[in-house]
Amino acid sequence: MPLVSIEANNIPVRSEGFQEDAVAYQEMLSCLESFDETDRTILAMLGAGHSYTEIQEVVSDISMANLRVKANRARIQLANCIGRKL
Amino acid sequence: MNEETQIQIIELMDDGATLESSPELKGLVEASEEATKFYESLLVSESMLEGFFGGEKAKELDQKIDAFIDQQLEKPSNVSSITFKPFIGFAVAASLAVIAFTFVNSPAEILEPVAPVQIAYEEPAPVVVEEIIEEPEPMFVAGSDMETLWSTASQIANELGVDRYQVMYALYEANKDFFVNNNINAPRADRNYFVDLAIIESVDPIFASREVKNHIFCSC
Repeated sequence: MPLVSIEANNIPVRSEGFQEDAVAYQEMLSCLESFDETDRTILAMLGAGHSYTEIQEVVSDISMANLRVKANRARIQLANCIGRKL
Repeated sequence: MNEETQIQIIELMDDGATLESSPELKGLVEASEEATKFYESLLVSESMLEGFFGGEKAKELDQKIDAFIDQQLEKPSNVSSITFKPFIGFAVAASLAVIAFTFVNSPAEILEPVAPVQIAYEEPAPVVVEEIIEEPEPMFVAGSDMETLWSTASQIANELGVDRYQVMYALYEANKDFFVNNNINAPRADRNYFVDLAIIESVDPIFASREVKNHIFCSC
């Protein structure tokens, strides 16, 4: 039976940094678990590239100024949490 | 370091400032070891948020799944099957109308002998008309017409007088295949979204709100 080498197939043996990324994301998610629902939604939507206007539509009954304050506080909280863990 | 300084750093970063380009940011960050550590943590957390919820890897994966769905799992649109209903109804109604007009316009000498038959022809007509009237009009929203899914859901909610989360929940539940990788944050523009009024009317607003927020958070 003819064999094909891994090099010939050009199969990547491993993806560098994948495990490190996975651990880091896990730490971030464990931080986010301690946040309230609104803060989690704000951060997830910011990460996904949504605008503040779109986030305001989702997080109803909130002014733009208040939303920005909440978002900034959530970002500070997340940065501090990750800073402690990593 | 107080919160005011932290917010100043964030706002400068949002404006595109870097340590190289902004002396103000550099001054704030290098003012203390605590500020430097916060700045570094912030860079990491922002990068991780983007990487996890909307980074290049996530987009690349979405595109691959999108292509895979197009190639392998292309389903016939719900629109085409449902839009036959009006045509069938119209065809039935038109056939009965032709029969009725033919009968009404017939000469009197023909009408008189077949008078009992006239009753037999007239009976089914109202039944068919009732069926056409009772047929609920399916409601669709074209993805290409939507600015954002949320603004569309808000508009529909206002028109129906319901909570926007009820509409958003119904849009997602009835059209999961139209979201890339079932990700509520990635609705496809090339699909027609079915607005399931039954779901909207039956789902509890609090439940819908919780579910939609969970979907947004987990991108699923």
